[in-house]
Amino acid sequence: MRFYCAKNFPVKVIALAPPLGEDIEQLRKDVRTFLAEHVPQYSAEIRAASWMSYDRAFSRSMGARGWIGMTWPKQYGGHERSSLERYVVLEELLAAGAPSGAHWVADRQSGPLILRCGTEEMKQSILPRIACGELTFCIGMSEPEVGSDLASVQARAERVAGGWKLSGTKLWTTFAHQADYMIGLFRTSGTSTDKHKGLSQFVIDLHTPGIEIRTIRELGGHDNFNEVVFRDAVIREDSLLGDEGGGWSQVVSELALERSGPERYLSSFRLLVEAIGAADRGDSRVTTELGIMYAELVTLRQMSLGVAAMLGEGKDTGIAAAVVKDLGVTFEQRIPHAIHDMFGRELLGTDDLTRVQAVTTEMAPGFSLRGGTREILRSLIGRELLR
Amino acid sequence: MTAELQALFAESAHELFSSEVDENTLRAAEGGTWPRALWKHVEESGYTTLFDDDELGATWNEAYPIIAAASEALAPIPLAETLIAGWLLRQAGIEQPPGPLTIVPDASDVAHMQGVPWGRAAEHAVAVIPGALESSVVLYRIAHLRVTPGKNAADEPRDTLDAAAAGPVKSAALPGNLPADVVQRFGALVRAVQMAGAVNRILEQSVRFAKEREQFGKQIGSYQAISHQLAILTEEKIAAEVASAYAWRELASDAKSNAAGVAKIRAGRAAGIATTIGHAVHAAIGMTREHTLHFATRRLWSWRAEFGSESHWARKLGEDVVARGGANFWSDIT
Repeated sequence: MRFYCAKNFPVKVIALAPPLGEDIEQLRKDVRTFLAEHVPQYSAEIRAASWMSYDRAFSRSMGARGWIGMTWPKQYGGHERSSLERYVVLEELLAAGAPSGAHWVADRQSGPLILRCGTEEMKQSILPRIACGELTFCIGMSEPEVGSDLASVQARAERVAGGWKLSGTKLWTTFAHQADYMIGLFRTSGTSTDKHKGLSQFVIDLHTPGIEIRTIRELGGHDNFNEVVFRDAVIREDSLLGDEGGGWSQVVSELALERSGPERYLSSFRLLVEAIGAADRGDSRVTTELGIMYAELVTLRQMSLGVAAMLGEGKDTGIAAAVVKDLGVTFEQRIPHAIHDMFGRELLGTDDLTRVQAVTTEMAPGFSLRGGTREILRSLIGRELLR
Repeated sequence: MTAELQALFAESAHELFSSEVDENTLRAAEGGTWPRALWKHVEESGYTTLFDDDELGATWNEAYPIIAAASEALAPIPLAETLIAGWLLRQAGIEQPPGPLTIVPDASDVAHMQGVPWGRAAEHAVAVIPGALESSVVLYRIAHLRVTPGKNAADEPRDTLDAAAAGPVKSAALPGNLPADVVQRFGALVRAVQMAGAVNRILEQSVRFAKEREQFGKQIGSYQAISHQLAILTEEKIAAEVASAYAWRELASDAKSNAAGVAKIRAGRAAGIATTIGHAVHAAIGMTREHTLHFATRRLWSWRAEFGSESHWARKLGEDVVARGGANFWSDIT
C-alpha cells in the first residue's frame, strides 16, 4: 500500500481565485468612493450591523449604480459582470458597514434562484426590479417545529382553482415585515414524514390577503425577526418556483449561496476596526491577538473568494461553502469575546467602541445559526468524508 | 504556460514522492540514514535546480506543486531548503553548487548558527549576514565548519554550525529588493506549506482509521462526535492549504510580503488542532512509535516553532495593524 493517496480524497480543496485584475480594483475604488460619501452619516450601530441594517433608499442608490444583480443577464436588468466583481462590491459594503439589508437576500439568493428555476414571466417582472434596488425578499424556510430539520416542513400549499392555497407558519423570517416577497418552502404532497419528497418553493407576494406578519423582538431590542402566518392565503398559479416536488434540491443549492459569501466572516468587522483604534501598540497581548485575527481574515477571504470563483465556473460548492461558513462564523463570533479580553469594558458606555461591542456581542450568537447551524454543517462535511 | 507547467509538475512530483517515500524511508531517516536514493531521484528530476535557466527556468509559482507534493509525503530531505538557498544564491549572482543545500535561520552570530535544518546532510549552507549598511548573502561549505549535531522533536537534523574559524567560500551583497529577513520569511513560507501537507496526511489517516475501527459494534466514524471532529480537521486542512498557497503566490511577486507571516500563523494554528484531533481519533495506537501517525504529528509540533512561531509572527503583524490604524485595516487586507 502506498504511504499516501491524496488524489482519491473525497473533499476537494478550495483552489485560489485568480488574482483580482485592474478592472476589478478600479471597481473597488469606485465603490469605496461612493461608500465614503454615503455611509459615514449612519450611526456606528447601524454600520456595525451592515447587512442586517435595512434602508431602501440606500439599496436604490446601489441599484442605480448597477451594483445589485451584477452577474445576471442584461435582459433581466443584470449587468453580466463576473462573480468576483460582485464579490468585491459585497466585501466593500461590509467593510464600510453599509446598510445593505434591503437588497442583500434578493441579490444573494432569491434573484439567482428565480433566474435558475423561475418562469420567463417571473424573470421579466421581478429580476429588473430587484436589480434597481426596489424589491426586497425574505426567506421562508424555518417553522415553529422546523429548525435544522428543514425537510420536515409542515406548511402546506394546496392546488385550488386558479392558484395555490397556503396554510401554516414560517418563523424567524428576517425583514418579512418590510419585504415585498418571500420565497417559501411548502409541502405540496405527502406529510412531514415523507421528508425530502413533496416539497415545493413559491414566490409569494406578501401583500396577499390571508398573510399575517408579526414582529418578534430580538434580545438586543431590534425588530428584525418575524412570524409569518398563512391563513388560506391564495396566490397565483404561476407563483410556483421551479418544479412541483422539486423544492428540496432547490433549497439545498440556495443554501450553498447563503454560506460562502463575505458576510460569513465580516459580520463583526466594524468592531475590529473600532478595537484597533483603541489598541496600544506596546501591549503584546493585544498586538498578538490582532495579528492572529489579521491572518485569519486574510485566509478566510481567500477561501471565500475561491468559492466565489468556483460559483462563477458553475462548480458544485456545497461542501466548500459549508467549510467557509463554519470557519468564518467561528471567527466572527470569537471577535466580541476577544475584544472583551483586550479591553474588558462594561457594555454601558456611549463611545463608539462600546456601543459597537454591545451590538456585535448581541448579534454574534446568531451568526452560527442563520444559514444552517454549525452542527448541521459539520455533519454535512463529516458525511462527505466517510461516504 | 505557468498553469500547464504547474499541472505537469504536480503530476510527476506526486508520482515521484508517493512511490519513493514510505514508512521505511521515514524510519530510516529518523534513525540517521540519509535517503540517498530519494535524493538522487529528486536531483535527476531537476527539482533541486528548478530556477536554473539552463534547465527548467521555473518560477516560484511553478515550484509550488513540487514542494506541496513533497510535503504531503513528508519527504525527509532538505528540498525546500535547497530551493530557497539556490534561489538566494542566484539572486546574489553566486553560482549554485551541486548537492543538498541548507539555509541558516539566524546568522547574527556566525559562531553559533543554531537550528540549521539538515546541516550535517547538506554540502553547503546559505546565510544572510546582517550588516550595518547592507546585508550579504554568503555561501559556506559545510565541510569547512564545525558541526554540532542536534535534532527537532521529529528527529530531523537541526544542527549548530560554527563558522568562526572558516570564512565563506562566496559572498555577495543582498539585492535591494530582498528584505534582510528573507531567509526567515521564505523559511516560514515553506514550513507553512509543509504543515498543510502534514495536516492533510493526518486527515487522510484519521478518515481511514474512522472507517476501519469499530467500537460498540459500529465503525467509529458513524458516531457524530467523531465525524464532527473530522469535519473540523477538514476545515483546518483547507485553511492551512489556502493560506500557504496564497502566501506562496504573494511572495513569488514580492519577497517582502507579510503573507509569509499569515501562512505561518494559520498553518501553525491548524497544526495544533490537527494533531489534537488526529490523536483523539486514533486513541492509544496513535501514541505508539509503531504506528505511523506520529510522522506527521511530531513534525507539526516542530515545524510550527521553526522560522518564527505563530505568536512571533502575530505580534509582528499586529504591531503593524495597530500602527496603521483602524481606517487602513481593510485596505491592508485587500
